[in-house]
Amino acid sequence: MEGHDIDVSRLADVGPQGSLAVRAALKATLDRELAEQASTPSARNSGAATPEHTASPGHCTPAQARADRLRR
Amino acid sequence: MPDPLDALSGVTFKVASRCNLNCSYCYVFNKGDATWRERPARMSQEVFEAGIARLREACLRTGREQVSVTLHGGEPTLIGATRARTFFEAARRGLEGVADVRLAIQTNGTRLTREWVDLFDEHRVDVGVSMDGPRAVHDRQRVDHRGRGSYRAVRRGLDLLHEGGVPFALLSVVDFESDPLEVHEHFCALGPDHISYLMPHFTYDDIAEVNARYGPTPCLDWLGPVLDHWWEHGSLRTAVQPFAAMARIILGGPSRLDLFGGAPLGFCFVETDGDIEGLDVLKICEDGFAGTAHNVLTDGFEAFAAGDGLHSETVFRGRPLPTGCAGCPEAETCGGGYVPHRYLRGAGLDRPSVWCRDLLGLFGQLRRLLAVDQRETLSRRRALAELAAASASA
Repeated sequence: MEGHDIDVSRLADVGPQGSLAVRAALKATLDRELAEQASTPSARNSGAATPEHTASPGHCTPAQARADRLRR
Repeated sequence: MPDPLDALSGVTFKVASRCNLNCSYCYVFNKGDATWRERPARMSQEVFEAGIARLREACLRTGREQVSVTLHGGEPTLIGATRARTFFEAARRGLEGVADVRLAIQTNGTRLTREWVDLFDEHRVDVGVSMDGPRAVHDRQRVDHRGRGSYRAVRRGLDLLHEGGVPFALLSVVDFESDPLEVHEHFCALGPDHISYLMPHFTYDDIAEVNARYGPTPCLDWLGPVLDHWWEHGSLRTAVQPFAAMARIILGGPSRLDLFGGAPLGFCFVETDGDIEGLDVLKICEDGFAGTAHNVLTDGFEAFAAGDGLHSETVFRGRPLPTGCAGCPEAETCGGGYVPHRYLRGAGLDRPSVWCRDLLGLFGQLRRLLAVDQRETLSRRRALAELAAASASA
């Protein structure tokens, strides 16, 4: 992603998502998620790039947070 | 030429066409569509398994590796936990070796029992519970058929989910009469995995009364303070929609919510009799508006995808930008807003959302918080597309 406008310099600062404040980490977390999704062909074929029904529970939980909650 | 079926990422099964509640704003029962009256009250095992078999065929054809199967209604718990278990098992069995299946259910939460919670836990079901706020807010519109509020019953359901360690999402229709921060803080205290706020469903045929009563931007007026609260005090552990989805689009990503963008929805609906339908909220437009000519007992999803009608286009190819959105600075991000909200009887869907001004305001507010303007969104989008192309060719 270097050379583009996405601020990858902040990504290293992003820790476990659940402990982070939205204001501090949303942008970097989404940047990382989008970059990972774009660079992973299997993610593009898993439904990760398609919208979800607004009147359903959805699966919008970030992947790491979902993994965390399943371990709880 | 790409196969339009490639877009199909999930199916929502309307396993019950009745509901134990009678919410005043319900798009299934109280917005003019009467198709539910003619359908079986509950979906049979035969219909459900036919739908799963059709989904399996689609996955085999497209190579999709993960799909979602959602139980919806009406109120899906009316089928009973025993029937639901056979559905979940049938979904896993039917897609085994073909695609991973993510199971979900959207319920009003009033009929949950330990048996249901154990079932959700066992099958790792994503659970959405509809709730509108503290008791006084919730019970204004979410009432049973005798007009009695359902808040207490929903809270009992949430307590059971907590006791069973089952995460849940809260789905809430914005009530303009309520205090937004009181509602939001109430929800946060209930410990949901994420919170989704829905803009109430209106079309150009009935929005004037709303604006006359609540002003030109009632959704922005309500959601704006919630967005600021989430930004200042929220944790990433609790995603709040539509803000998280809007942030994703502003940062150059594809829309993760059907509220925005012109992307194919990628999901469709199967009614209790097996009828395949397009986006269910389109029921607010006219009686029977969401219907197609297809049924899972006789047709595969590829037949639906091959059509050239409104629903095939919306689900598999995406809607064109409404004419009125040309030149809008958020045309590439908002995409015209939610498709049902673009409707005017006799003129169709070629208008910006009835919540256009609200959406523009929310995008602007979130852009200021993220410090990302429209030019940067397009630049980010190009960067992600280049990254995807490079990884595909590597």
